[in-house]
Amino acid sequence: MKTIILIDMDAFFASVEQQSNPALRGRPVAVIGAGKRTVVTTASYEARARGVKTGMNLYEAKKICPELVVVVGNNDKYTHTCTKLKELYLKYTPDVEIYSVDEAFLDVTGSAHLFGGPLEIGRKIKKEIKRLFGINATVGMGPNRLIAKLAADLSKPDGLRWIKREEVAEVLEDLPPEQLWGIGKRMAEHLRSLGICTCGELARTPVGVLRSRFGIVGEHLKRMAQGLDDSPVAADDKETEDVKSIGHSMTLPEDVYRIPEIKAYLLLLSDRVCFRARQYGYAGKTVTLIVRYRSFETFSVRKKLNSPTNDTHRVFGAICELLDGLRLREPVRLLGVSIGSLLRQSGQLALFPEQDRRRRLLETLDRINLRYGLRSIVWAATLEPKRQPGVISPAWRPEGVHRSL
Amino acid sequence: MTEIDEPVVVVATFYQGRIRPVKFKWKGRLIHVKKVTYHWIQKDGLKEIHFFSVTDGKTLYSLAYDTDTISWHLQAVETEGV
Repeated sequence: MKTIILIDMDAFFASVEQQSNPALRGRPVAVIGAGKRTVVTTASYEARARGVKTGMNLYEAKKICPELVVVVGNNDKYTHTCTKLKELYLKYTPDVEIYSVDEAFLDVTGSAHLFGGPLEIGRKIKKEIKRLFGINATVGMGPNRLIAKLAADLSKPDGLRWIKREEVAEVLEDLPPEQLWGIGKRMAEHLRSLGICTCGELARTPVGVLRSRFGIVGEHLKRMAQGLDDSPVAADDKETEDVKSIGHSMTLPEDVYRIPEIKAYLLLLSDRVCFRARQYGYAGKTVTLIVRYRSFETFSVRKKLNSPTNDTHRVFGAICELLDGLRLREPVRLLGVSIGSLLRQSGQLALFPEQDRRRRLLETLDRINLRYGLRSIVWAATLEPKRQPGVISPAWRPEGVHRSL
Repeated sequence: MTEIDEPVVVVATFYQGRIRPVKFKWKGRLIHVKKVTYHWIQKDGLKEIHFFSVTDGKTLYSLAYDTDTISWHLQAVETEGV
Protein backbone atom coordinates (compact mmCIF):
# COMPACT_ATOMS: atom_id res chain seq x y z
CA MET A 1 0.00 0.00 0.00
CA LYS A 2 1.37 3.39 -1.01
CA THR A 3 2.74 5.48 1.86
CA ILE A 4 4.02 9.00 1.58
CA ILE A 5 5.74 10.95 4.35
CA LEU A 6 5.96 14.73 4.51
CA ILE A 7 8.65 16.22 6.72
CA ASP A 8 7.96 19.85 7.49
CA MET A 9 10.51 21.77 9.54
CA ASP A 10 8.84 23.85 12.25
CA ALA A 11 9.48 27.60 11.82
CA PHE A 12 12.64 26.51 10.03
CA PHE A 13 14.73 29.68 9.73
CA ALA A 14 13.78 30.91 13.21
CA SER A 15 14.47 27.49 14.77
CA VAL A 16 17.93 27.34 13.14
CA GLU A 17 18.71 30.80 14.51
CA GLN A 18 17.49 29.84 17.99
CA GLN A 19 19.67 26.75 17.86
CA SER A 20 22.71 28.75 16.68
CA ASN A 21 22.32 31.34 19.39
CA PRO A 22 21.11 29.92 22.72
CA ALA A 23 20.22 33.45 23.88
CA LEU A 24 17.34 33.42 21.40
CA ARG A 25 15.74 30.23 22.72
CA GLY A 26 12.35 30.74 24.29
CA ARG A 27 12.22 34.31 22.99
CA PRO A 28 10.03 35.68 20.18
CA VAL A 29 12.26 35.80 17.10
CA ALA A 30 11.57 37.14 13.61
CA VAL A 31 13.88 36.34 10.71
CA ILE A 32 14.05 38.97 8.00
CA GLY A 33 15.85 39.13 4.66
CA ALA A 34 19.11 40.94 4.05
CA GLY A 35 19.28 44.45 2.56
CA LYS A 36 16.50 46.85 3.37
CA ARG A 37 13.77 44.22 3.60
CA THR A 38 11.61 44.68 6.65
CA VAL A 39 9.20 41.84 6.11
CA VAL A 40 9.11 38.85 8.47
CA THR A 41 10.27 35.74 6.58
CA THR A 42 9.73 33.36 9.47
CA ALA A 43 8.55 33.88 13.03
CA SER A 44 9.41 31.56 15.92
CA TYR A 45 6.52 29.87 17.70
CA GLU A 46 7.00 32.27 20.64
CA ALA A 47 6.53 35.18 18.22
CA ARG A 48 3.56 33.50 16.52
CA ALA A 49 1.88 33.12 19.91
CA ARG A 50 2.06 36.93 20.21
CA GLY A 51 0.49 37.41 16.78
CA VAL A 52 3.61 37.85 14.60
CA LYS A 53 3.08 36.27 11.19
CA THR A 54 5.13 35.57 8.08
CA GLY A 55 4.85 38.41 5.58
CA MET A 56 4.13 40.98 8.30
CA ASN A 57 5.89 44.32 8.15
CA LEU A 58 8.55 44.66 10.83
CA TYR A 59 7.03 47.88 12.19
CA GLU A 60 3.68 46.13 12.60
CA ALA A 61 5.35 43.07 14.17
CA LYS A 62 7.27 45.22 16.69
CA LYS A 63 4.11 47.07 17.56
CA ILE A 64 2.25 43.93 18.61
CA CYS A 65 5.36 42.30 20.09
CA PRO A 66 7.81 44.97 21.37
CA GLU A 67 10.18 42.32 22.81
CA LEU A 68 10.59 40.75 19.35
CA VAL A 69 14.21 39.89 18.50
CA VAL A 70 14.98 40.51 14.83
CA VAL A 71 17.61 38.39 13.10
CA VAL A 72 18.84 38.82 9.52
CA GLY A 73 18.57 35.44 7.83
CA ASN A 74 21.61 33.48 6.68
CA ASN A 75 20.76 31.59 3.48
CA ASP A 76 23.91 29.45 3.55
CA LYS A 77 22.98 28.15 6.97
CA TYR A 78 19.51 27.10 5.79
CA THR A 79 20.56 25.61 2.46
CA HIS A 80 23.37 23.61 4.12
CA THR A 81 20.89 22.27 6.69
CA CYS A 82 18.46 21.35 3.90
CA THR A 83 21.23 19.50 2.02
CA LYS A 84 22.14 17.56 5.17
CA LEU A 85 18.47 16.77 5.81
CA LYS A 86 18.22 15.29 2.33
CA GLU A 87 21.18 13.01 3.09
CA LEU A 88 19.31 11.84 6.18
CA TYR A 89 16.08 11.15 4.25
CA LEU A 90 17.97 9.16 1.61
CA LYS A 91 18.88 6.62 4.29
CA TYR A 92 15.23 5.57 4.32
CA THR A 93 14.24 5.72 0.64
CA PRO A 94 15.70 6.80 -2.69
CA ASP A 95 12.40 8.52 -3.54
CA VAL A 96 12.92 11.90 -1.89
CA GLU A 97 11.47 15.11 -3.25
CA ILE A 98 12.77 18.32 -1.71
CA TYR A 99 9.59 20.29 -2.22
CA SER A 100 10.95 23.48 -0.66
CA VAL A 101 13.80 24.48 1.59
CA ASP A 102 11.82 23.30 4.66
CA GLU A 103 9.56 20.56 3.26
CA ALA A 104 10.32 17.16 1.75
CA PHE A 105 8.17 14.28 0.53
CA LEU A 106 9.39 10.70 0.92
CA ASP A 107 7.79 7.74 -0.83
CA VAL A 108 8.45 4.89 1.60
CA THR A 109 6.08 2.40 -0.07
CA GLY A 110 8.89 0.02 -0.97
CA SER A 111 11.15 0.57 2.02
CA ALA A 112 8.88 1.03 5.07
CA HIS A 113 9.00 -2.68 6.01
CA LEU A 114 12.81 -2.48 6.29
CA PHE A 115 12.59 0.09 9.08
CA GLY A 116 9.63 -1.15 11.10
CA GLY A 117 6.89 0.72 9.19
CA PRO A 118 6.14 4.35 8.28
CA LEU A 119 5.48 5.47 11.83
CA GLU A 120 8.87 4.15 12.94
CA ILE A 121 10.58 5.97 10.03
CA GLY A 122 8.81 9.17 11.06
CA ARG A 123 9.92 8.76 14.68
CA LYS A 124 13.51 8.01 13.69
CA ILE A 125 13.73 10.99 11.34
CA LYS A 126 12.33 13.35 13.96
CA LYS A 127 14.81 12.03 16.52
CA GLU A 128 17.75 12.32 14.14
CA ILE A 129 16.83 15.89 13.14
CA LYS A 130 16.68 16.84 16.81
CA ARG A 131 20.03 15.14 17.50
CA LEU A 132 21.87 16.57 14.50
CA PHE A 133 20.43 20.08 14.35
CA GLY A 134 18.57 20.56 17.64
CA ILE A 135 15.41 21.62 15.80
CA ASN A 136 11.91 20.19 15.56
CA ALA A 137 10.10 18.80 12.55
CA THR A 138 6.52 17.75 12.02
CA VAL A 139 6.00 14.49 10.18
CA GLY A 140 2.77 13.69 8.37
CA MET A 141 2.01 10.36 6.72
CA GLY A 142 -0.71 9.26 4.37
CA PRO A 143 -1.60 7.26 1.25
CA ASN A 144 -0.63 10.22 -0.97
CA ARG A 145 1.01 13.64 -0.88
CA LEU A 146 -2.25 15.50 -0.22
CA ILE A 147 -3.09 13.47 2.89
CA ALA A 148 0.52 13.43 4.14
CA LYS A 149 0.50 17.23 3.94
CA LEU A 150 -2.84 17.38 5.78
CA ALA A 151 -1.54 15.02 8.49
CA ALA A 152 1.43 17.34 9.04
CA ASP A 153 -0.70 20.49 9.01
CA LEU A 154 -3.07 19.01 11.58
CA SER A 155 -0.30 18.06 13.99
CA LYS A 156 2.04 21.08 13.94
CA PRO A 157 4.31 21.89 15.69
CA ASP A 158 6.59 18.97 16.57
CA GLY A 159 3.87 16.54 15.50
CA LEU A 160 3.76 13.01 14.15
CA ARG A 161 0.58 11.74 12.55
CA TRP A 162 -0.35 8.97 10.17
CA ILE A 163 -3.72 9.20 8.43
CA LYS A 164 -4.32 5.71 7.09
CA ARG A 165 -6.31 5.12 3.91
CA GLU A 166 -9.31 3.80 5.88
CA GLU A 167 -9.33 6.94 8.10
CA VAL A 168 -9.23 9.50 5.28
CA ALA A 169 -13.03 9.88 4.82
CA GLU A 170 -13.59 10.34 8.56
CA VAL A 171 -10.82 12.95 8.89
CA LEU A 172 -12.08 14.90 5.88
CA GLU A 173 -15.81 14.77 6.72
CA ASP A 174 -15.99 17.94 8.86
CA LEU A 175 -12.80 19.59 7.64
CA PRO A 176 -13.15 23.07 6.07
CA PRO A 177 -11.96 22.80 2.41
CA GLU A 178 -9.32 25.53 2.85
CA GLN A 179 -7.40 23.24 5.18
CA LEU A 180 -6.57 21.10 2.17
CA TRP A 181 -3.30 21.84 0.39
CA GLY A 182 -4.17 23.73 -2.80
CA ILE A 183 -7.53 25.17 -1.76
CA GLY A 184 -7.16 28.84 -0.91
CA LYS A 185 -9.39 31.18 1.07
CA ARG A 186 -10.95 32.63 -2.08
CA MET A 187 -11.88 29.20 -3.43
CA ALA A 188 -13.30 28.29 -0.01
CA GLU A 189 -15.50 31.40 -0.17
CA HIS A 190 -16.77 30.36 -3.62
CA LEU A 191 -17.56 26.91 -2.22
CA ARG A 192 -19.36 28.42 0.78
CA SER A 193 -21.48 30.48 -1.60
CA LEU A 194 -22.64 27.12 -3.01
CA GLY A 195 -23.43 25.92 0.51
CA ILE A 196 -20.34 23.71 0.67
CA CYS A 197 -18.59 24.22 4.01
CA THR A 198 -16.77 20.92 4.57
CA CYS A 199 -14.73 18.45 2.55
CA GLY A 200 -17.45 15.87 3.22
CA GLU A 201 -20.03 18.11 1.54
CA LEU A 202 -17.63 18.84 -1.32
CA ALA A 203 -17.00 15.12 -1.86
CA ARG A 204 -20.76 14.49 -2.10
CA THR A 205 -21.44 17.37 -4.52
CA PRO A 206 -22.19 16.05 -8.03
CA VAL A 207 -19.20 16.56 -10.29
CA GLY A 208 -21.44 18.26 -12.90
CA VAL A 209 -22.30 21.04 -10.43
CA LEU A 210 -18.64 21.64 -9.65
CA ARG A 211 -17.60 21.48 -13.30
CA SER A 212 -20.25 24.00 -14.34
CA ARG A 213 -19.04 26.40 -11.62
CA PHE A 214 -15.26 25.86 -11.71
CA GLY A 215 -14.54 24.19 -15.07
CA ILE A 216 -12.02 21.34 -15.06
CA VAL A 217 -10.86 22.44 -11.62
CA GLY A 218 -14.26 21.28 -10.31
CA GLU A 219 -13.41 17.64 -10.89
CA HIS A 220 -10.05 18.11 -9.20
CA LEU A 221 -11.72 19.73 -6.18
CA LYS A 222 -14.02 16.74 -5.74
CA ARG A 223 -11.08 14.32 -5.91
CA MET A 224 -9.22 16.37 -3.33
CA ALA A 225 -12.22 16.33 -0.98
CA GLN A 226 -12.28 12.53 -1.39
CA GLY A 227 -8.62 12.49 -0.34
CA LEU A 228 -7.43 11.34 -3.77
CA ASP A 229 -4.12 12.46 -5.26
CA ASP A 230 -2.10 10.60 -7.90
CA SER A 231 0.84 13.00 -8.07
CA PRO A 232 4.11 11.12 -7.65
CA VAL A 233 6.99 12.00 -5.37
CA ALA A 234 9.42 13.56 -7.85
CA ALA A 235 12.78 12.24 -6.71
CA ASP A 236 15.78 13.98 -8.23
CA ASP A 237 16.71 11.15 -10.59
CA LYS A 238 13.13 10.96 -11.86
CA GLU A 239 12.25 14.61 -12.13
CA THR A 240 14.80 15.46 -14.79
CA GLU A 241 12.99 13.14 -17.21
CA ASP A 242 9.94 15.25 -16.87
CA VAL A 243 11.30 18.75 -16.25
CA LYS A 244 9.04 21.49 -17.59
CA SER A 245 10.86 24.67 -16.82
CA ILE A 246 13.94 26.08 -15.17
CA GLY A 247 13.47 29.29 -13.26
CA HIS A 248 14.96 31.57 -10.71
CA SER A 249 13.31 34.33 -8.75
CA MET A 250 14.65 36.88 -6.33
CA THR A 251 13.11 39.13 -3.72
CA LEU A 252 15.12 42.30 -4.25
CA PRO A 253 17.02 43.85 -1.32
CA GLU A 254 14.76 46.89 -1.75
CA ASP A 255 11.85 47.79 -4.01
CA VAL A 256 13.08 49.03 -7.38
CA TYR A 257 11.37 51.13 -10.03
CA ARG A 258 14.24 52.22 -12.30
CA ILE A 259 14.28 50.20 -15.53
CA PRO A 260 18.12 50.01 -15.87
CA GLU A 261 18.35 48.60 -12.34
CA ILE A 262 15.53 46.13 -13.04
CA LYS A 263 17.36 45.03 -16.19
CA ALA A 264 20.59 44.46 -14.26
CA TYR A 265 18.72 42.09 -11.92
CA LEU A 266 17.12 40.39 -14.91
CA LEU A 267 20.55 39.82 -16.47
CA LEU A 268 21.71 38.21 -13.22
CA LEU A 269 18.60 36.00 -13.13
CA SER A 270 18.87 35.11 -16.85
CA ASP A 271 22.48 34.12 -16.25
CA ARG A 272 21.58 31.89 -13.30
CA VAL A 273 18.77 30.21 -15.21
CA CYS A 274 20.91 29.61 -18.30
CA PHE A 275 23.84 28.40 -16.19
CA ARG A 276 21.57 25.80 -14.58
CA ALA A 277 20.08 24.85 -17.95
CA ARG A 278 23.56 24.36 -19.39
CA GLN A 279 24.64 22.24 -16.40
CA TYR A 280 21.69 19.90 -16.89
CA GLY A 281 21.86 19.96 -20.70
CA TYR A 282 18.56 21.74 -21.38
CA ALA A 283 17.56 24.54 -23.73
CA GLY A 284 14.21 26.35 -23.60
CA LYS A 285 11.94 27.67 -26.29
CA THR A 286 9.73 29.89 -24.13
CA VAL A 287 10.90 32.65 -21.84
CA THR A 288 8.84 33.94 -18.91
CA LEU A 289 9.24 37.11 -16.89
CA ILE A 290 7.66 37.22 -13.43
CA VAL A 291 7.08 40.53 -11.67
CA ARG A 292 5.80 41.15 -8.15
CA TYR A 293 4.89 44.67 -7.16
CA ARG A 294 5.35 46.26 -3.74
CA SER A 295 1.66 45.46 -3.11
CA PHE A 296 2.44 41.74 -3.70
CA GLU A 297 0.38 41.77 -6.91
CA THR A 298 2.17 39.25 -9.12
CA PHE A 299 1.95 38.55 -12.83
CA SER A 300 3.94 36.94 -15.60
CA VAL A 301 4.43 37.51 -19.32
CA ARG A 302 5.78 34.98 -21.79
CA LYS A 303 7.47 34.94 -25.17
CA LYS A 304 8.17 32.15 -27.60
CA LEU A 305 11.58 32.02 -29.26
CA ASN A 306 12.21 30.72 -32.75
CA SER A 307 14.67 28.09 -31.49
CA PRO A 308 15.56 26.63 -28.07
CA THR A 309 18.37 28.33 -26.19
CA ASN A 310 20.36 28.40 -22.96
CA ASP A 311 22.45 31.39 -24.01
CA THR A 312 22.28 34.05 -21.28
CA HIS A 313 22.12 36.96 -23.69
CA ARG A 314 19.43 35.50 -25.93
CA VAL A 315 17.24 34.83 -22.89
CA PHE A 316 18.06 38.24 -21.44
CA GLY A 317 17.24 39.89 -24.79
CA ALA A 318 13.82 38.23 -24.84
CA ILE A 319 13.22 39.17 -21.19
CA CYS A 320 14.08 42.80 -21.96
CA GLU A 321 11.60 42.81 -24.86
CA LEU A 322 8.95 41.51 -22.45
CA LEU A 323 9.84 44.17 -19.88
CA ASP A 324 9.82 46.94 -22.49
CA GLY A 325 6.29 45.92 -23.40
CA LEU A 326 5.08 46.52 -19.84
CA ARG A 327 4.00 49.67 -18.09
CA LEU A 328 5.05 49.15 -14.51
CA ARG A 329 2.52 50.67 -12.14
CA GLU A 330 4.40 50.17 -8.87
CA PRO A 331 7.95 49.61 -7.60
CA VAL A 332 9.04 46.02 -8.05
CA ARG A 333 9.59 43.74 -5.07
CA LEU A 334 10.40 40.44 -6.78
CA LEU A 335 11.62 39.42 -10.21
CA GLY A 336 11.73 35.99 -11.79
CA VAL A 337 12.99 34.53 -15.04
CA SER A 338 12.25 31.07 -16.36
CA ILE A 339 12.68 29.13 -19.56
CA GLY A 340 10.15 26.50 -20.59
CA SER A 341 9.27 24.10 -23.45
CA LEU A 342 12.56 22.46 -22.62
CA LEU A 343 14.49 20.20 -24.93
CA ARG A 344 17.49 18.07 -24.14
CA GLN A 345 20.50 19.41 -26.00
CA SER A 346 21.61 16.89 -28.58
CA GLY A 347 25.15 18.18 -29.00
CA GLN A 348 24.43 19.12 -32.58
CA LEU A 349 27.18 21.28 -34.08
CA ALA A 350 26.43 24.93 -34.73
CA LEU A 351 25.83 25.92 -38.35
CA PHE A 352 27.63 29.26 -38.13
CA PRO A 353 31.12 29.84 -36.64
CA GLU A 354 29.80 32.74 -34.52
CA GLN A 355 27.35 30.39 -32.74
CA ASP A 356 30.15 27.95 -32.03
CA ARG A 357 32.37 30.73 -30.65
CA ARG A 358 29.54 31.87 -28.41
CA ARG A 359 28.94 28.32 -27.11
CA ARG A 360 32.64 27.90 -26.29
CA LEU A 361 32.70 31.26 -24.50
CA LEU A 362 29.75 30.25 -22.28
CA GLU A 363 31.30 26.84 -21.57
CA THR A 364 34.53 28.54 -20.50
CA LEU A 365 32.69 30.98 -18.22
CA ASP A 366 30.82 28.07 -16.63
CA ARG A 367 34.03 26.14 -16.05
CA ILE A 368 35.64 29.14 -14.34
CA ASN A 369 32.62 29.66 -12.10
CA LEU A 370 32.41 25.98 -11.20
CA ARG A 371 36.09 25.92 -10.24
CA TYR A 372 36.49 29.26 -8.47
CA GLY A 373 32.95 29.87 -7.25
CA LEU A 374 29.78 31.36 -8.71
CA ARG A 375 30.17 35.00 -9.66
CA SER A 376 33.97 34.62 -10.01
CA ILE A 377 33.45 35.88 -13.53
CA VAL A 378 30.28 37.85 -14.20
CA TRP A 379 28.64 40.14 -16.72
CA ALA A 380 29.77 43.67 -15.88
CA ALA A 381 26.22 44.99 -15.63
CA THR A 382 25.57 42.77 -12.60
CA LEU A 383 28.59 43.94 -10.63
CA GLU A 384 26.98 46.22 -8.05
CA PRO A 385 27.37 44.48 -4.69
CA LYS A 386 23.86 45.23 -3.52
CA ARG A 387 22.48 42.90 -6.17
CA GLN A 388 22.41 39.97 -3.81
CA PRO A 389 19.22 38.12 -3.04
CA GLY A 390 17.74 39.24 0.25
CA VAL A 391 15.49 36.28 0.88
CA ILE A 392 15.99 32.68 -0.10
CA SER A 393 13.53 31.38 -2.66
CA PRO A 394 11.07 28.93 -1.04
CA ALA A 395 11.66 26.68 -4.04
CA TRP A 396 15.34 26.30 -3.21
CA ARG A 397 16.61 22.71 -3.37
CA PRO A 398 20.04 21.11 -2.89
CA GLU A 399 20.41 20.09 -6.52
CA GLY A 400 18.52 19.39 -9.72
CA VAL A 401 15.89 21.43 -11.48
CA HIS A 402 12.26 21.94 -10.60
CA ARG A 403 9.61 20.33 -12.72
CA SER A 404 7.94 23.67 -12.95
CA LEU A 405 8.51 27.15 -11.59
CA MET B 1 26.47 40.06 16.34
CA THR B 2 29.42 42.44 16.11
CA GLU B 3 31.52 41.82 13.03
CA ILE B 4 35.21 41.10 13.80
CA ASP B 5 36.70 39.33 10.75
CA GLU B 6 40.17 38.72 12.21
CA PRO B 7 42.48 35.76 11.63
CA VAL B 8 42.76 33.66 14.79
CA VAL B 9 44.77 30.68 15.97
CA VAL B 10 42.45 27.76 16.62
CA VAL B 11 43.05 24.33 18.11
CA ALA B 12 40.63 21.93 16.47
CA THR B 13 40.08 18.23 16.02
CA PHE B 14 39.69 16.73 12.55
CA TYR B 15 38.18 13.29 13.06
CA GLN B 16 36.10 11.01 10.83
CA GLY B 17 35.42 13.83 8.39
CA ARG B 18 34.25 16.20 11.11
CA ILE B 19 35.92 19.39 12.27
CA ARG B 20 35.47 20.62 15.81
CA PRO B 21 37.09 23.78 17.20
CA VAL B 22 38.31 23.15 20.75
CA LYS B 23 39.89 26.48 21.75
CA PHE B 24 41.15 29.68 20.15
CA LYS B 25 43.17 32.72 21.04
CA TRP B 26 41.66 36.19 20.65
CA LYS B 27 42.90 39.50 22.11
CA GLY B 28 45.55 37.56 24.06
CA ARG B 29 42.89 35.47 25.76
CA LEU B 30 42.47 31.71 25.39
CA ILE B 31 38.82 30.88 24.81
CA HIS B 32 37.68 27.31 25.45
CA VAL B 33 34.79 26.18 23.26
CA LYS B 34 32.16 24.71 25.51
CA LYS B 35 29.66 23.93 22.77
CA VAL B 36 29.34 24.13 19.00
CA THR B 37 25.77 25.36 18.66
CA TYR B 38 25.62 25.18 14.85
CA HIS B 39 27.82 24.21 11.95
CA TRP B 40 27.25 24.90 8.28
CA ILE B 41 29.23 24.92 5.07
CA GLN B 42 29.29 27.56 2.36
CA LYS B 43 30.40 26.11 -0.96
CA ASP B 44 31.87 28.36 -3.59
CA GLY B 45 33.28 26.54 -6.58
CA LEU B 46 35.64 23.88 -5.25
CA LYS B 47 36.26 25.93 -2.11
CA GLU B 48 34.43 25.24 1.15
CA ILE B 49 34.13 27.48 4.17
CA HIS B 50 33.01 25.81 7.39
CA PHE B 51 31.18 28.11 9.78
CA PHE B 52 30.82 27.34 13.47
CA SER B 53 28.66 29.11 16.02
CA VAL B 54 30.43 28.34 19.28
CA THR B 55 30.05 29.38 22.89
CA ASP B 56 32.33 29.40 25.91
CA GLY B 57 29.24 29.51 28.10
CA LYS B 58 29.21 33.32 28.27
CA THR B 59 29.64 34.65 24.75
CA LEU B 60 28.66 33.43 21.29
CA TYR B 61 31.38 33.48 18.61
CA SER B 62 31.24 32.78 14.89
CA LEU B 63 34.36 31.02 13.56
CA ALA B 64 35.11 30.28 9.90
CA TYR B 65 37.53 27.70 8.51
CA ASP B 66 38.56 28.12 4.86
CA THR B 67 39.55 24.78 3.32
CA ASP B 68 41.31 26.52 0.44
CA THR B 69 43.70 28.65 2.50
CA ILE B 70 43.64 26.35 5.57
CA SER B 71 43.00 29.31 7.82
CA TRP B 72 40.64 30.31 10.61
CA HIS B 73 38.85 33.62 11.05
CA LEU B 74 36.82 34.98 13.91
CA GLN B 75 33.85 36.34 12.00
CA ALA B 76 31.71 37.86 14.71
CA VAL B 77 30.97 38.01 18.42
CA GLU B 78 27.56 38.21 20.05
CA THR B 79 27.70 41.14 22.38
CA GLU B 80 24.31 40.54 23.99
CA GLY B 81 25.55 37.40 25.71
CA VAL B 82 24.36 33.80 25.54
